[in-house]
Order: sequence, then C-alpha cells, then structure tokens
Amino acid sequence: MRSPSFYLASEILSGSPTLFCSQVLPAAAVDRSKFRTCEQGSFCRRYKKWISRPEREKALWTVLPQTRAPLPEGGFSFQVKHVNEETPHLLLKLNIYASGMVRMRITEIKPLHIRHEIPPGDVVSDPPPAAAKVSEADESGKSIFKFATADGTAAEDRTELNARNMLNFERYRTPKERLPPDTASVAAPDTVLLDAAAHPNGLDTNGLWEEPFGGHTDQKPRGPASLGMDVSFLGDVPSLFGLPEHATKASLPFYQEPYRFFNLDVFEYEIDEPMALYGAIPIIWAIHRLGGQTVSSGFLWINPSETFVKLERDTPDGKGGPAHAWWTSESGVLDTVVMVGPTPKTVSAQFHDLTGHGPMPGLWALGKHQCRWNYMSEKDVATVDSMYDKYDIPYDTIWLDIEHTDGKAYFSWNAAAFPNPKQMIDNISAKRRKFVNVVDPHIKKDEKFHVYREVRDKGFFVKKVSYKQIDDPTDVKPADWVEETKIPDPTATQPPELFCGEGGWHPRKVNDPTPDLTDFEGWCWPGTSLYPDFTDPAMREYWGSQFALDKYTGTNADTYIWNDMNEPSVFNGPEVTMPRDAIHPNGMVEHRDVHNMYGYYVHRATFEGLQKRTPGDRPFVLTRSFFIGSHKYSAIWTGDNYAQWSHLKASIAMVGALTLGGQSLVGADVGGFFKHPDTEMTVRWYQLAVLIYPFLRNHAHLETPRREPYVFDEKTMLRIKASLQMRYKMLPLWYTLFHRWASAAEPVVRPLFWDFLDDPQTHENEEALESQIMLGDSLLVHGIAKPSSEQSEATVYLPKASGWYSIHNGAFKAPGAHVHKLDLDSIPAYYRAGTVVPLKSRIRRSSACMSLDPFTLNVYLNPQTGAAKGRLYIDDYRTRTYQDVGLLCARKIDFTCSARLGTRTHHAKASFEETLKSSH
Amino acid sequence: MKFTLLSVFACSPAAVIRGVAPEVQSKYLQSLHCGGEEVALSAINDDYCDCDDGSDEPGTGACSGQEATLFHCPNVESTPQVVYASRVGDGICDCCDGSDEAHLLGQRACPNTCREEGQRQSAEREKKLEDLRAGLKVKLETISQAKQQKQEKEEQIQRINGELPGLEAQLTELLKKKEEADAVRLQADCKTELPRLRQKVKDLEEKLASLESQLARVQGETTSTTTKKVVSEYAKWMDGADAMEDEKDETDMEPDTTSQDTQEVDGGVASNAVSSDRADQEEDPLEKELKEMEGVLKSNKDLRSRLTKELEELREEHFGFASLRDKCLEFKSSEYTYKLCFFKDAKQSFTRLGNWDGFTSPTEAVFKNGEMCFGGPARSLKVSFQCGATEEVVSLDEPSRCNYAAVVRHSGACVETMMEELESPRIRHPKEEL
Repeated sequence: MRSPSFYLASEILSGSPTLFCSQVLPAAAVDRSKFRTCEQGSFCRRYKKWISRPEREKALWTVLPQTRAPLPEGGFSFQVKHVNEETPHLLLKLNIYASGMVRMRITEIKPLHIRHEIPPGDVVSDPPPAAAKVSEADESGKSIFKFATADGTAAEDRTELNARNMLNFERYRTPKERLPPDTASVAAPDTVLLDAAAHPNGLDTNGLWEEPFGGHTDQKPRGPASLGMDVSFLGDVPSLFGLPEHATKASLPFYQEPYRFFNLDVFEYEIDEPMALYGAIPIIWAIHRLGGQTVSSGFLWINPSETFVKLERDTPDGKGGPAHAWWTSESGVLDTVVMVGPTPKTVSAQFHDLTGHGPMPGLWALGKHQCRWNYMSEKDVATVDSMYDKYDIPYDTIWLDIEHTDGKAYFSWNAAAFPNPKQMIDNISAKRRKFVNVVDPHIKKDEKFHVYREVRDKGFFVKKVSYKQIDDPTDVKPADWVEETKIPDPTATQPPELFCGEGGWHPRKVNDPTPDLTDFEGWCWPGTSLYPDFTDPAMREYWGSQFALDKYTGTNADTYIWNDMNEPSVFNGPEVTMPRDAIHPNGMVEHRDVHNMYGYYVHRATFEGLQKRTPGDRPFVLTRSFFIGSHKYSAIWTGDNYAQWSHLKASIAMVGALTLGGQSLVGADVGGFFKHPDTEMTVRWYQLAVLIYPFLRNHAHLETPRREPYVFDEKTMLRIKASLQMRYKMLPLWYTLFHRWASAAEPVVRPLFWDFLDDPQTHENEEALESQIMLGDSLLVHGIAKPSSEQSEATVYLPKASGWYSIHNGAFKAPGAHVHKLDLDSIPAYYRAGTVVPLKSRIRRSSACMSLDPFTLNVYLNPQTGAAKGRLYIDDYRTRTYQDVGLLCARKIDFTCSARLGTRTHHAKASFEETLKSSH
Repeated sequence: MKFTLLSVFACSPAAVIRGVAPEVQSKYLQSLHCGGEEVALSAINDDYCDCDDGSDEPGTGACSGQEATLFHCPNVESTPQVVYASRVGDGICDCCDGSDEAHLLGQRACPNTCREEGQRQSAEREKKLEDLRAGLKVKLETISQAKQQKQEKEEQIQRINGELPGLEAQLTELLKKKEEADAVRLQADCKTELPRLRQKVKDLEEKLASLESQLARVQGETTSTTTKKVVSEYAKWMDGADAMEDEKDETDMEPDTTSQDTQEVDGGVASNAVSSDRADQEEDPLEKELKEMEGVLKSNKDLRSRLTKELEELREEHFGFASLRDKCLEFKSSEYTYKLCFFKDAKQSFTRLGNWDGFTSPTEAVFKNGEMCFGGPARSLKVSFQCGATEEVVSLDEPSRCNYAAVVRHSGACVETMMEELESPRIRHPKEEL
C-alpha cells in the first residue's frame, strides 16, 4: 500500500482570495428569515473578518518539532505556539493511516472547559485505521501542511492545509477577561492578537457571550470557542463534489454565501442553495489535473457543531486553477482528514477505512416502499396492499406516518383507527412484505405515556439552563479603591445615566456556576414535548429496548422503524431546532457542541434496538437527520422535497453527493412530498428513481391527493408499473452492488467521474455532471426533468468506454454525445459494453417472493474483445450470517465470446471465479 | 410426427396441463403459437418463459410479471379461480387447494382449505342472494313508484304546457284592456295636468338661468385654481362606501326575490304583486286581475321548471334510487355525525361536504363544491352504492384530505345479473376483484 509522506513545508502561500458570485435566485417558498446566514451568526461573521484582516499573511502559529510525542491511539502530537504567547497552548495531533489518509487534529492543551470531542467509534472507527510508517521529509515547523502520495502515481502535491493562513482557534476564556488566562502577561491585552475573538482592533465582539436570533437569546456562559482553517486543492481543479446535504448541483457552485452545516427541519427547501438542510457529511471531493494526470482526493471536516464552508477560486471567472475552501465551526476541536486518493475508488476506500463499512441492507429494503402521510386505518392499509396485488405491481413495504399514534405518543396506536395493529401487520407479513412505523425522538409530555415517565425519571431529557447572575466571588474590592463622590449636576434635567448606587463598589456579576437545570420543553407534533439526550449510551440503550416485541405492542418482527424530525425539530425553538445553550446531561455538554450529531445518535439507538429485538436480522431504520458515519446504521432520504421538475433534477446531484459521503442507501421521495405531481412528472420521477435511488419510496403530504401507482389513468399506471418491474428485475444487480459497497466501499450510485476520471467530460460537461449518474460501473442513467412540451430530445453523454448498449432496445452506441429522441415510455439509460448484468426475469409481489427464482445474466459484450465481466452476489437476503464466510456466494463472471458481435451463434465460455475469500 | 406425439400426450393421464382450465386444455393440446412461432410441446410448462404473453407457462411462475396468461386453480369443493403467474411458486398460498404452491412439501405445504372456503363462500353467497332478492323487490317497487311519479310529473308538465297558451292569451287580453283604460285615463289627466306642468317648466328655467349666472361669477373668481376636481381622501372613501352600500343593497335584494319566488310557488297566487302596488291608493280592479293572472302564469312556469329539473336529476337508469329523494342518511363516526341528503347536500356535523352533483355511474354519485379546506381543495364526497335491502351508510372515510368517500347500502345498486353471478360464479380476472 502507498503511504503518504508528510512534511511541514516552509513557504507560505500568499494572495488574497478572489470572491465571485454565482447567481442568486429569488425566494419562492422557504422562509429565509427563520434561518441564519454566515453574516447573522457571530462566529462565522467574526471568522470572515479574521480571514480578511490585512495582516493575515503573517504566520501566527509555530509547530514545535521538539515537542513531538507519540499518541496513545497511534500517531504523534506536537505543541503549537502562538507568536504572542510564551507557552504553547494548542496541541496538534497527526495520524497517518496506511490506506492513504492523514488526520490532523488541533485542540487546547488545558482548556477552561472541556472541548467536546466525538467519542472514538462514533465517527472514526475504534480501533482507528492502521497507521502508516512515516517518513518525515521536513520538520522545519511552519504552518503549512502538504500531503502527497509516495506511491509514484502522482508525485505532485494535491492538498494543502492552512496554505492561506486562515487558521483560527479560539481558546476558552473567562467572561471577565477578553483573553484566555495567562496570555495577558504577554503584552497589554489591547495589543494582543490571539484569535478572531481576541483581536487588538476588536474585529467583531458581538455575540461572544450571548447572541440573539429570531426572538431567542443564546446564552453563552462558556464564551467564544470557534475554530477555522483553509484547505487548498492544487493543480487544475475542474470540479468539487460532495458537501451533503445541500440542495445544490453535483459540481458544487462557488456561492458567495458559504455552505452551511446545521441540521434543520427546513420547510419547503429550495434548489441551488447553500442553506443548511437536515443532515451533515462535511466532505469535499476534488478532481485534480496534475502533471498530465487526473487524480482525485477527499477532505473531511469532522465537527458536530454549526459549520460553514466557503469554496473559493483564485481566478475571477471561477474556472480552472486550484480551488480553495475555508471552514469554520462554532466549537469543539479542529479535526480534519485528507484522503489522498489518487483514484475515486481509493478515496472511497479511505473514507470507509476511517468511518467503517456499511452493512448489507435486507433485499426488501431495495424494493419499492409505499408511504403516505397518512394511511388512516387498518382498512386503508389493507386496501393499498390489495390494490397493488390487483394490478400485479410489485412492492415490498408499507409505511405509517405519525397519524397512526395515540396523540403522537410514539410506540402507541390510535385505537379507533388501528384496533388490531398486530393482525394488520401480520397480514402484510403473510404477503412476504414488510412494515415501517414512524417513531420520532420528541417525547410527548403526558403522565400517561410510559416513555415520558421513564425517561424523565432516569434524568435523560435534555435540560434547559436558567442562569442566575451572582456576585463574582473572585472579584474583591481593590485596596486602593476610592469612593467616587457623586456630584449632582445642577443643570441636568434628567438623572445621571450612570449611577453607582449605594456603596459605590460592587463585585462583578457572573453566571451562577451551578445554574438551575430543568427538563427542556419544546413544541412538536404532540404539543409540549421533551427531547432525550441520545448522546448518552445509557439513553440509547433504553431507547433501543423499547422496540422489543413485548414492549412495542402491535408490532411483529417484520416491523422496522422510521426516525423523522431528529435534527431535532423544535417548532418553537430558534431556527426550528433545539436552543444551542440547552444542556445534555451526559457530560454536561452544550447542545451547540453536538447539534449535528443528534439525529445520528437517534437513528443509531433505533438501529441497535432493532438489532437486539431480532437477533441475526438486518435492522432497517430510515432517518432524516444524519452525520458522518450514519451509513453504518440507516437509510437516508432527502427530506421534504417538492413536486417540481427542479426537485426531480436536483435529486440526481443530491443522491450522488450523499453516496460520495458514504451513504449509499439513499433516495428522494418519488413524486415530491409537497404538492401534487402531474402524471408526466410522476412517470418521469419513477423512471429515474427505479434506476438511481437505492432507497425507493413514494411519499406524499397529508394535504395532497392519493398517488399510489394504481390511482392514475391506465396508461400512466402501466408506465409506473413497467418502471417498478424493471427495478425488481434489476434487484440482483442492486444487491450485488450493495455487497460491493459493504465489502469494498464502492458507492452503489455515483457521479460519472468516479468511474471515468480520465474522461474530462465527466468533470466539466454540464449534462454529464447534472443530469447523469452511474448505477455501479455498468449502467449510465440520464434523468429527464422537463415536460415533453418543453423537451423533445436529450443530449446524452456516453463516457469513454468500449461502447454502450441501450437498456431499452439493446442498440449499440459509441462513446460521445448522442441526441436521444424522447418518448414517455422510458428515459435514456445505457449498459456499458463489456459488462455482465445479473437480473431476475420473474417479477412477483415482493422481493422475498422472488428470492428462489433463477437468475438471468445479460451479457453486454465489448465489441473489440468479445468479452464481458460482471459480478453476482447471493446470500439469504435478510440475516447477518453474510458476515460469516461460507454462508454466501460471491462470483466474478468472466464471459468470452469467440464469434463477433451480431452473429446469433457463438462459442461462449463463462467462468465463475469465487471471490468469497478475497472479499473477506 | 406431431400427430403421434399429440395423441400420446392426450391419452396419457399426465396430459392435463397444469394451470389450465379444463375447457381451455384443448387449446394446448392442439398447437400453441406465440410471437409468430410454434411452441414445442416440450416447452410448455418447462419452467422457462418462451412467450412474452406467458402462454407457454400456464402452470409455472416462469412468466411472472405478465398478466395475459393466468394460472387456473381448480379449487375442488370451492370456486375455481385464476391468479397471476407471479403467484405461482412464490411461497404464498393463494389458491385454497394449494395448487399454486405445489412445490412446497411437508410442513411448508399449503393446506387444502377449499372445503372451509367453499362453505364460507356459499354462506356468503346465500346471504348476498338473500339481500339481492330482497333488494330487487324493493328496487322494483321503487322503480314502479318512480315511473308513476314520472308519469304524473310529465302529465302535469303537459297540462301546464296545454294551459299556458290560454293563460297567456288571457293575459294579453287583459294587458290590452289595461292599455286602453290607461290611455283614457291619461287623456283625462293631460287636460288637468298640462297647464300646471307648463308653469313648472317655466319656473325651473328661471331657476336654471339664475344658477348659471351664479356659477359664472364663482368661476370668474376662481380662475387661478386648478380645474381638476379636488376630492379629499375622505370623500373618495365615502364614494367607495356609497358604492359598496349600493352593491350591498343589490345583493341583499337577491335572497328576497328568491324567497318571494318560493313563496309564489308554494303559496300559489302571489301576494306581493298586490302589496308592491300599495302606493296606488285605490286598487284598480283591472290592475288586480292583471296581477293575479301574472301570478298564475308564473307559478305554473315555476312548477314546470321544478318538475323538469326533477325529471332530469333522476333519469330512468337511476330510478332504483328514487326513494332517496328528500331523504337524509346519517352516519356517526367517533368524531362526527355525517348527514347525506341526496339530491341536496352532504354535511359532516356543521361542515358542508358538498352539494349533490348527480350520478357518475350506475352505482356511484358525487357531492361537490363543499366548504373550502384551509389552503386546500373544496370538500367533496363520493358515494358508492352497494346492493342491499336496507338503506344505510356502511362507511365514510377521508382517503385524502377533504376528499371523502362513503359506501351506502341501497337497493338501487341491486342488479338482476348479480343473481346469475352469485348462483353460478364466473371466474374473475384478478383485476376485477375487490
């Protein structure tokens, strides 16, 4: 394996970044006033001023090579000294992993308050990835870190950290001092430049200790603690990808406004926006054209507090040359990982080496999910199920949204509409189908609700702090205090503004160090609701135990769970979420420190509960909110999208960004959640979704008309049915690809560059970037996102390969751009020549019904060689025994054909190579 | 050669082709074609799908996903049925005889439940037949009543149509008489009135002249001011308010006129015709006669249009539902009381779900344009009628927001052909089920 060399470079790159603006769309639906921009949040605003200060080019921090020490978890650390300090206060930790990654962390050596660090195993695997042997090229100790691979494939540097000297690290300080303790001695406080919050000219001191927004005031008893840094992607960088979750393009636009990561329940989100959405996987994928080669790399920013990232270019036209990003987070530690590539496959492998591999989903999870807010009764559920059967349309899972509960107390049933839930679900099971119920993390405040009582009694609810101001006991009256004599101004008509009061001197007021903590109450679906502290493993254990079949009445072992609203959504909270100053009783951590991981901990607790409920079974959890590492537990959907063509199109980029973030079990609501798609949009959405959404669910808002496939006119119904039949036919391909994901870290669906990095069109051709995506390495799909009245043909770009075959009629096409006449029966999709595609031709009611049916192998020959290759993976489709070697079957298929293409008879030879051992 | 093969095949007891109804077996015993090619006998039910329509695999699941060829389960002791090919060998027992899952053996084998199913089905059928017979009886009565009513209504219309020319002629006559009388009176009036009116004209002309001179003076004084008429905001508002008041008055008038109309229809001769003329102190007998005649004419016309509307509303094909006229059925859910008043409106407690909009099929009707939902559509209610001797609302749901659906049992939905269907059930395509 390659091992990246690491050195501290001595030169400092200069040059101020050029900002440029991409188009800003007018507001259509989302209420922007509710959500903060960078400028409206004190730490981001402060950081922007920090990085544009005139003296920025002067290096501030020095890494002290002589302080190098080994870390207990592997790697080594250095102390980092600020130019205005005598003793170093920051610690830089470095880990260099054998798979080709460098992790760099910066934290305080002795912080005033604990700086929150994500526990080992929650994001970065525990034990961490294997360490590489390190050769140190240079330890001259400056502030730039460069990374390159030493495997000879690309000798050039491709990633630089802090090359633009934007590092900011705000140490905790006491309210009475502008500077952290023991720095005041260095120089007069008013001249010390330490960080963005302690600047001699006071860059921006608003919001350091409290900050109002949208009618809420964020108390910040611990004061400023933000951090930030820049990263540069070197070479000619045509495109950056990633940064899920944002409703933006695949090739990330360089917006004027930074991309925001702050998990939120955004009502009616819009497209082409850097606004925050429900989840956060702060990863950037870069493509570098370097020294005549094209390579890729990844950069990960691991911080669960609010984070902004700004993409920048050196050139005013925003094209070509290197690309830069600056990052800033509100609190915690600076934790970054550079995945050096050089191929997309290795970047993916490096990411999963760091964060862990995803589990195999049950085959059924890849089938069709039918959801709606809401199926209103047992009869309703039975009718939907039988209507699918009536028209012989395959589907696997029926879902219930919040209305099934007794007053939104989850784990309960509305007894009037669902008197016999167990029977209802058993009837679904009898069709070899599955059932999913929503269980949200907000807990209804209701004495009658056992979950409320138990979580309250265990003290697991997130707390609200009521700060009291007390006299600062450390503030004593100075010995030389001279009482001011108040001389009333005889000419004044108003009383003097500053009145010292009786006695003249008073001790300073400070927040009570032991403030009152009460359970935080917010508003959500049930009315007054409380929010468990899911960061606490004991709370997660309790939560998980609630899914036991004897606890969760009315469910059976075919019942799986949907966690919605887990950002968390707090209807009356700031930005519709939890106040940042709320306290998690687990470690007395402030909510701001863990916000972006709240949803992760919720769905993880659910996953682990289901694992215990049905030992050996593969759990299924769908989550709306997520973080780096969510792929180990949950499926994700892109939240409450809209029945609009723009949302249909954006789902291609959104799904692609998420799969690049390790999250392959992902999809958007087919047809859009809000409003009602017309028949053409519905058909186009299905045609795309069956080919590129690994998680395929039809969902709709309470106030929309029904949209199950069978409610449409016959022509439309038949088109939807044909799409779904194609999905079921291709399930063996999907399943095999998921095995590649679970075992070899390959995203199931991926942007074109992942497979065709050497084809420059895949990094710069608009259609190839935004309308097209690959399913595995074999199928290219081009989404149609306009009505036929506006678009009668599509230009499909087929990347450089040995050729392509139309999935619909087998027609062969050479690589390049092709104009494709459109009809309503299909969207353009092509199998790559030289692939063998495993299929099942018998389409039945559900995937389980097809599990014993024979396979069909479609062979798409490479016309030059007459050969084709593929894979097929088979196991029991539902248990975890696949993890034990011997209980599965993974085959490589090699197919060669001695005759030329076009002849009917040929001598074919197929060899099936067992890859079982090598894959585990 | 083929002949030999066939005869061997046909004579063997194994010749029964799995999944094929007895009456269709012969089709398979001759020769089978699909896609323009003949299918080899060995290809039939060989668990490999050769034909797109599935016809070579009537007894296996090999052609699952198509719906042209269905699997036939004999279901001895119950009713034979056909199921989609996708149901054959999918591990779910669909046929009561288990023939769709013949490969399942031992404990996993499908139990034969045809006897129980047959008994249950025949009990259900018996019950349905009973309902159907009773329903048909009620329906017949309803229809004959409706026919009689229709006839009566038509006769009434005819009567009115017959009487109207006479009445109109009388009215014309009266009008003529009145005109003449008016002319005589006018002449008399002119003689007395003319001098007085002339004097009045003279007076007014003088007044006009004086006002004009005043105006000229005033204009002369204010030549410097703008000619544009200055209107204060208040005045504008007042104008607007006046206009609004006018409109309001007009709209207020409308319900009155309608209520008068109804009064006329219900009470026969109009009384307002007289009352509105109360200004004339002495009632002219001719005038009175005229008003009365106009009233009679109007009430006849109103009655005719009401009858015509009723006839159109309930056409002959829906006579079975005639008993629903002027009737309301109630349904109580845990939250609301629903009231379905046919040919009128439907309500959910106090919320109007819609006005009667007529039948949409032989057994379906709809109430439309109910109260608007917040931000959503106007409420509406679809009614599906189910055969039964009694009249009742069986269920009422809201499948999507503000779109309600009711199932109503009513004899009007009973059809003679259902008898045949129940007595000797036909094999239904899976699409016809539910």
